[in-house]
Amino acid sequence: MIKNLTKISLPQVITISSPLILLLIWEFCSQFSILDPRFFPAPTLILTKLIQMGESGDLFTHIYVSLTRIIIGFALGVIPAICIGLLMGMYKYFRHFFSPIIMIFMPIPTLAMLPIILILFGIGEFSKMITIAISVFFPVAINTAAGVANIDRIYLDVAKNYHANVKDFFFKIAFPGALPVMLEGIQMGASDRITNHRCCRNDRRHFWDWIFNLDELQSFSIAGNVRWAHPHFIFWIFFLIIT
Amino acid sequence: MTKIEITDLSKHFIKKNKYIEALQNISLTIKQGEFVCLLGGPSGCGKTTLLRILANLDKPSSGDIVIHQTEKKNPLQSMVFQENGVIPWLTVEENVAFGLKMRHMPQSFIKERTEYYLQKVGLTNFKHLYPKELSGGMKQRVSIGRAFANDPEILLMDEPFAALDEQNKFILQEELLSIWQETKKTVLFITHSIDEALLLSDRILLMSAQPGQIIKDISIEIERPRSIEKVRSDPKMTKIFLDIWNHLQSEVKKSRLLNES
Repeated sequence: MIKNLTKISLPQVITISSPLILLLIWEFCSQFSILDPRFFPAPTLILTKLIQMGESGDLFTHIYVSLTRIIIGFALGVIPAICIGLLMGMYKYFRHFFSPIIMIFMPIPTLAMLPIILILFGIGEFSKMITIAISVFFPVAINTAAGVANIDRIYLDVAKNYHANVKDFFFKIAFPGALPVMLEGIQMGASDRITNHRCCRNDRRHFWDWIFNLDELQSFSIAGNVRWAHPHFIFWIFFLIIT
Repeated sequence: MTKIEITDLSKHFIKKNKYIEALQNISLTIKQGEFVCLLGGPSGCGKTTLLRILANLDKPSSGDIVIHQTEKKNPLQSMVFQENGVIPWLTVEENVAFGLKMRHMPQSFIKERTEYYLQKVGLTNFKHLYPKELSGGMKQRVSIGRAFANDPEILLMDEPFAALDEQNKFILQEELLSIWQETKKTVLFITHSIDEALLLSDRILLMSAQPGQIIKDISIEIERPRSIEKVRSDPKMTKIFLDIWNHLQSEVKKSRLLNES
């Protein structure tokens, strides 16, 4: 039994090896100047810098700022999204009212809305949080509405037959029933959020300038399917910190 | 004492541009404490529609139903659904307590009732499990426990054992009978198994399809407690069985002709 627990399976090894190999290639390319080391410093160099920053305490202030931004932005997006999504799923009038609005705004990349957000909310912290909030809002709202719509009819019958009132129906049936699909939306929103967080940062004291950031955005969007639970996520956290 | 009164109940709807007379002028009365089986051959002959109307899940096109209430605080009806009626994100215990919780009964009362019916349906040891960890038979036990725990005026059951294997079915039927004999609830039970109807009911209502009507009302006067062996070996029961069988056969043929034309 114990032996089984400690043993690492082949699929696990493969999964772990893929980001490591990527890091190795990166290291190699950077060391031998195949990639310009001014823009792509070697991972080992980044690691030293990371330890340095950790020692000076700088790192933690940065993490603190980033995390508050992400958490508050996330909450600002997810909470209204769940409420509106549940209402849309439960009442067709809400659905008919909100879906055109959502359909209009959803396809617009949040970063394209950035100028408008900056005009409305200024260049402070708040507009960064709003950017994150908007990018989480749409996938979560849509998935929540779909989640409620996908609840098996029989549970609605059960709730009605056993006299569930609106509040109980909301919390005992609609919310838990929509949860699996809703969480998918949150995962999607979460990966989007990393992108937007990256782009909202203003301290570009390192090697990246704004234009390059936009370029990098593309690669992040491709990686947009990163899931929280995914092992690669650790890799992205790493990525987030070093930049 | 009359418990359920149905007068001139009709229900029709349009499905794929076809007018369907699901129920036509159904009138019947069911006495307090009676166990009534609705038996019909071809599926879609309106049994479920009738039950759903009684459960207040569908509205009748015309006609009236009255359920006489003896206890003001009790709900009118609770339904045991065909299958999958158990809510997957609640534990066995929470499922059994569902009706009581929805009616916001006092905590201690909910706990006591839930414990009692969990024990009745033999699920005390499984109360912390989730439905997906249970077998089909156990899920239906949860469903039955939930309905009885809610202490309704009448119980509605929509083929609760249809998806179970034979052995499980016999066990659950006997368990249902024992709980029913204790509580003396009025039960309306849908089935398409003649054996099941003979074993369980005081009265069998035979239904025809399109238009859905009650074509025969048979009293079953074999003494209780019953067992499947007793029902099978009783010559009177055999006669009733054949009688119903012939009726259903002609019904099936009729509906086939109707569908072909």
